[in-house]
Amino acid sequence: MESKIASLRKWIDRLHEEPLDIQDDTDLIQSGVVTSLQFVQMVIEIERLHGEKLDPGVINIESMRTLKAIDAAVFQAT
Amino acid sequence: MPAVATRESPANLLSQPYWYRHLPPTADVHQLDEGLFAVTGNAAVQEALAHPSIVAEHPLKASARAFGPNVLDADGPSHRAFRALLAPILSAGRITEYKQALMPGLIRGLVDGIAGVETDDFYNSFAHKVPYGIVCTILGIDASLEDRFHGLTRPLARLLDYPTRETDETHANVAELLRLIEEQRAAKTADERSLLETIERTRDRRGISLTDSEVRSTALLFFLAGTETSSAFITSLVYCMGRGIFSLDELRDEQVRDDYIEEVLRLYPPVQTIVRFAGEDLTVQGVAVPRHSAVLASIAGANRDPRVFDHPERFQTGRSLKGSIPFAVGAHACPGAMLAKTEFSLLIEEIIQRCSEVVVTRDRLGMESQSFSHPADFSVEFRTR
Repeated sequence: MESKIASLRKWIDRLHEEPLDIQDDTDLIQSGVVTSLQFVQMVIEIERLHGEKLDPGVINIESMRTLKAIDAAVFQAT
Repeated sequence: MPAVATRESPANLLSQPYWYRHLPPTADVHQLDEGLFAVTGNAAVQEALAHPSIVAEHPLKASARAFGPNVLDADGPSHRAFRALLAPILSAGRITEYKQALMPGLIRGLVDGIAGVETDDFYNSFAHKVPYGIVCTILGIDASLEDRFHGLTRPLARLLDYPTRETDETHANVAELLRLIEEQRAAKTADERSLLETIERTRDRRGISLTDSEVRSTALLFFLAGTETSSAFITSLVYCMGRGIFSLDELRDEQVRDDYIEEVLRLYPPVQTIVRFAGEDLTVQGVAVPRHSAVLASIAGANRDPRVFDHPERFQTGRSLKGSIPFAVGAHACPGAMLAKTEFSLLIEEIIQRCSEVVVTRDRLGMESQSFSHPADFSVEFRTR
């Protein structure tokens, strides 16, 4: 079974017609990988993959900036 | 959950001036994508904007990330605290003072510049002059910095637009404007009645716990909203004067002038699209909107809803404007509406004093922007008496 972060990577990939090279530390906004509205939509996908409501404190730019940060703040957080 | 309403990508849809027209007219709430909804009918837009669980605040929103905590992106008590800082500056008494002492000189200056002139770029060359003059003075910014503020602020407006354009330039401009505002605030050279000084006093007197950084962000957002929305609307106003088949002399009557402004506001609200967020699972007009979803409310669609306005695309002064919401509704309704209308009325008055005709001489029927919307790609001539 693929990891949640791999599933999120696929979700981001599907936003684009051309394949993307998204590194764990790619800044999702600065790189243009997601638009401002998609950044907001991504929260819903993260919550769906996580399987429970996100703590509001975790929805901030630092926790959501890169796949690595999302994994640490949400999927790997205890 | 409803089916996705359009096969077009949300970014493509939103890049079109009247995007709501591309959605099925049989519905008022449309799912554009997972977690993305558009609200287009008048009643639905009013419901969404006044809904207690549809909020402005979202930490990942471009403006929240760029400006930090600020009046546009806050809700509840913190939003009320931000608004309380602005209230003294926008009171009826203050607006009367601006009308008598501040606005006439600025408006005369603008009309001196346009009388007898034909321009193909009214928006960039002229429309900003009065709003920037007014807001710089109200804020307490040295007049010599007006052009610098204009140069930095205009690209910044794209941060509040849809689709949002977020670049290194916009971030650099935010930083520079906040630095300039802090410099002005620290120098305390502003009039004691200026926004920067009033914010300080109001904050201390009312015990409002806002940091200096939040005060600066609020000042910058006030500046951006006050200048760019008015610049856009003045462009629409002039465009409608130039397209209308009527004698400008009719606008000498104050009531006719006010009706005229209201009708331009209905058809050309500067803020055409507002984004909000579902704070919890909720419904709008019976349509389920899941928690965290972005909700795009179309003021343009609401103001041209045929169920509310007969012949909604027709320019018709004197019509009932019940339901027209150019300044939005709910807690985030524009606090500067009265100031803006005063400015627009005086501007028309001065134009008709000096000009016998305003004529649109070339028109490609362009419209630009969702947040600072205005006609584009037209030429206008101001023929003198």
